[in-house]
Order: sequence, then C-alpha cells, then structure tokens
Amino acid sequence: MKEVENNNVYLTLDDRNSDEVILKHNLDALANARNAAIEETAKALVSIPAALVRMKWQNRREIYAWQVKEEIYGAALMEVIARNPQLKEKILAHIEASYQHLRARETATLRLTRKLSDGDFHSASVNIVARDENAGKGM
Amino acid sequence: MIPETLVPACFHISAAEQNAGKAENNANSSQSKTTLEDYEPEILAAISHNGQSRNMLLEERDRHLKDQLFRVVKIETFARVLNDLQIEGEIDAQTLSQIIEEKTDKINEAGNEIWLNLITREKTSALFYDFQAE
Repeated sequence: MKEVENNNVYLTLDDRNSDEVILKHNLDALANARNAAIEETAKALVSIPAALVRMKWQNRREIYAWQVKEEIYGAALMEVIARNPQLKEKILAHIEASYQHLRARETATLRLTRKLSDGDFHSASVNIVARDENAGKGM
Repeated sequence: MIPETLVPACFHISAAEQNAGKAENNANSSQSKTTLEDYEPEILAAISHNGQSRNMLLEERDRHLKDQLFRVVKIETFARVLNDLQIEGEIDAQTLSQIIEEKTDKINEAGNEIWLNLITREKTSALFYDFQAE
C-alpha cells in the first residue's frame, strides 16, 4: 500500500495533492524523530545535566554557522538600503512577501523542518562574482 | 513555530497580513486553514499530553529545531531578495559582491560577540542588522 502512495508523488500533476502527499511523509518522519527523541531520553543512562550541557554546546555550534550567514545577508540588505534609500520600501516589502511565501510553503510541506531534522539541509546562497581586477585600470 | 512576520507592518503588502488574525478562529477546522503551529503537537517532543513532568533535554531539542527553522527561513528569504535585486538590475553584481565580502569580514571578525550571545541569550534579535528600526 505504501509503495503505491510513494509512486503517486511523481505521477500527480495536481500541485495541491502532491503537497499533501509530501506533507504526510514529512510529518510522519518528524513524528518518528520526535518519538525517537522521547524514547532515547527515557532510557538514557547519562545524567540529565551532563547530557543537557553537551546538547547545548552542540546546538550552539550549529546555530553559530546559521547565524553568521543570516547576519551577513541581513547586514548586506541594510547596506543596500542605506546606499539606495529609494529602494527601502520595495526591499522591505519584498523581504516580507518572500518570508510569507516560504512560511506558506513550509506549512504546506514541512520540507525545511524535515531536512533540518534529518540534518541534511543546505541553505541558499547569493550569487557572488569575482572582483573585476581590471576595473579602473583602462586598457 | 516561527514568527508570523519579519518586517514592520507598515511595509507589508496588504494581502500578506489578511490571514494573520483569522488563523486562531480556524484552528479546529484543519481543512480550511492549517497553520505551522498546528503541527507542533506532532513534531515537538516536550509538549505534555497528559501532564507528564517537563524534560529539559526535550525542551532543548524543540527549542533548537525552532531556532534552526527560523534562521534558515531568514537565510532563504534574504538570499532570494538579494539575488532578485541583482536580476532586476537594482544593484550590480560587482557592488553586491563587494558589500557581502565586507560584511562577511566584519561579522567573522565579530564572531566572539555572536558566540557569547549564544551562551548568554541576552539579545534574541540579530546583532548586525535590524529591519524594525525607524
């Protein structure tokens, strides 16, 4: 039964249906991860304070990497706005609209939450160009 | 799971915020308006279903999952906007690359500040940008 459902993910042309199927798979996986965490905690032989300290350090290390990237892009957007005040409204509206879109997609599929839970998420990057070494040199 | 909005309300496009208030009323009818928060009982581990005692390990797990999700959604959002600004020609690729290079150097140098704040959690918002200002 399950396999038939799986196949449908790729066959369906209806966006809403495929969202629902993906959501169900992701939600099942996330619920399993949650139950595994509860079970693991219940049978843990380590002392809770020691495990908590270890967990917090590991989590901080993970968040540090995300936060640096978030801060760089956030600060870059502020700089773009500072240099182009006429773009301020447009940029902030665009930020909010993109955020709402991602939030709605997450509500529809839980894709990011699932990938984060599995530990295999790679975040988007801004396209960077090499510095033009010849700029201003004149040929 | 994550905040409803990211920038001050005065900059929202009207459509985006219309649903915000209605979400609560429809919490029961999962058909019409499911919110991200509706999944919490299934995803988060520390939510007590039958009055069990709190577990700090599970609370930290949940907190971390939500923290990661919010950061990642912000990164995806900002990257998309910055790339779109380039595509639309509002800012040229050289200038933007240079800005990002500068900010990368600055923020990497200030890594200790970020690290310290992760330990103290003194400031919950970002340290190097703020769209709420003004």
